[in-house]
Amino acid sequence: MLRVEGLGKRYGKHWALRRASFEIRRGEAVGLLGANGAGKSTLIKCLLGLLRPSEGQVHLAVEASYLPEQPQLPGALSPLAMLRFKCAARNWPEEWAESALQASGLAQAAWERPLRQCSKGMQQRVLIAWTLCGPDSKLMLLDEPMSGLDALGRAEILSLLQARKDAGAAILMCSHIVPDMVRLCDRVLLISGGLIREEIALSDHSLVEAEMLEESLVRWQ
Amino acid sequence: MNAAMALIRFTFAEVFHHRAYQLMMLACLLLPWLMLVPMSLFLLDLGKVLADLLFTVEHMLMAGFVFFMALPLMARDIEQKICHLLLSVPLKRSTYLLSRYFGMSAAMLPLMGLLLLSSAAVFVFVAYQWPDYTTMDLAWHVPLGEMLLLLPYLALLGVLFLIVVFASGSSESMVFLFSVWLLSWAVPPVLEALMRPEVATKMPHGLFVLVQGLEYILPDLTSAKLSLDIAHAQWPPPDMLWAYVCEHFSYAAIALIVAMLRFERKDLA
Repeated sequence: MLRVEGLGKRYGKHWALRRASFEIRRGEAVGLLGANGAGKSTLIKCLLGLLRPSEGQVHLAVEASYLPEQPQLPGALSPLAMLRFKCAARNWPEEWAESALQASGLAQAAWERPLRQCSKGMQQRVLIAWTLCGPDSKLMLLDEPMSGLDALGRAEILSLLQARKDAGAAILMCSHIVPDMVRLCDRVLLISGGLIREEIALSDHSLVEAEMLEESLVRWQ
Repeated sequence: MNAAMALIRFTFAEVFHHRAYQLMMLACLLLPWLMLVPMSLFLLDLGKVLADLLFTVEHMLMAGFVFFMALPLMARDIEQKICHLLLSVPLKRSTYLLSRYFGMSAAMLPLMGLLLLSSAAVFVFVAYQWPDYTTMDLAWHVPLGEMLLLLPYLALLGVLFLIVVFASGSSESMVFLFSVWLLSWAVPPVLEALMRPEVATKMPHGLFVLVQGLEYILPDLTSAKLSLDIAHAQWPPPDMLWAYVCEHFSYAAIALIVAMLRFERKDLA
């Protein structure tokens, strides 16, 4: 669904991302793990064309839905209005907006409430709904999707993403939260200083693997 | 096309649901009536005074809309990653900019409509209440003059888009837009004065050509004279009216085209 070959992004003389190559197949979840400034968000933005890559190529087989890291949502509008806009723009049935909000776990009472009155966690769920809205089998690029969610919320969203993955969606997720990655992802790309240093396959999604990931993260700091 | 229309509607809804915009709509209804107070200070033709005062109100409201509604919305879009979300629909970058522009332009129309309605009611009231002091008739030239005043603000909105795609944030956008606005008000009358025959004859030829060139190129966004003349039933030659309309649409179009070219290449970090 996604193939990346030698992708790089340079700002002046500084390379924020260099020689990134990997592939994500249908029904696979891949994690991008790294410290702040490691190049995770740069990589995702290059995939979407928000940043112009300085080198390399991106091959997208399907359309990608994107969840940016902590954007400020239009406060005057309601979650439903936002999702309806996406459906109208794509000529999708309006009911898909409601289904996505339902799936995100956002309480129905908040659907018509102005976004400025929604808590950070609720807004994060709206963003999740934004990403979920659309056909099942697609590519999801998620930049810190668990940001602002409590433990229960994180568990719910992870189950939701797992269900999407089982339905054939491919997921690329950036996060600092190692246990979340271990629970969802099949592979983790460890990124540091703009380079993908290691690719770690996760087989049993256990605590041992979480510890192993944390050790690798510390090693590459 | 669907995506563009959806974003135009989304932009309009976003502006419309803003509390500041709703206050502006209320102001459009009330301000013409409040203008009766300063109007009563003049012992002149009340209709003419009221037309002048309404033009001032309209300038204030439209400038307020561009500076305090449109600018923060666009600057926030780019600064706080809302455009990332909207572009991920997916939308072409040029579609995004144009739809935002047309959505905001559309949001200026209800303000204009309410102001026109309320102004018309005030004119009728004044003509009925003080017929001896009102010689100016209520013909359609007053609303036409008021509507023409919208054009400079559509051009300014285009300039705003140009500034926002180049600027690094809302403060910078505000400073540059304010500078453009100020210059487009202050410089053209000075250049016009320099072009008068009595001044021009005393000027070196090279300088005169330079001033003339500047006078042609620099935008004159005041529009006060032409639209106010029309409101007072003093018709300019038709070619001047057409030139005025084309000039402002051209400013908006040029600003938007340059903004789109820049935005296509911009890294949205």
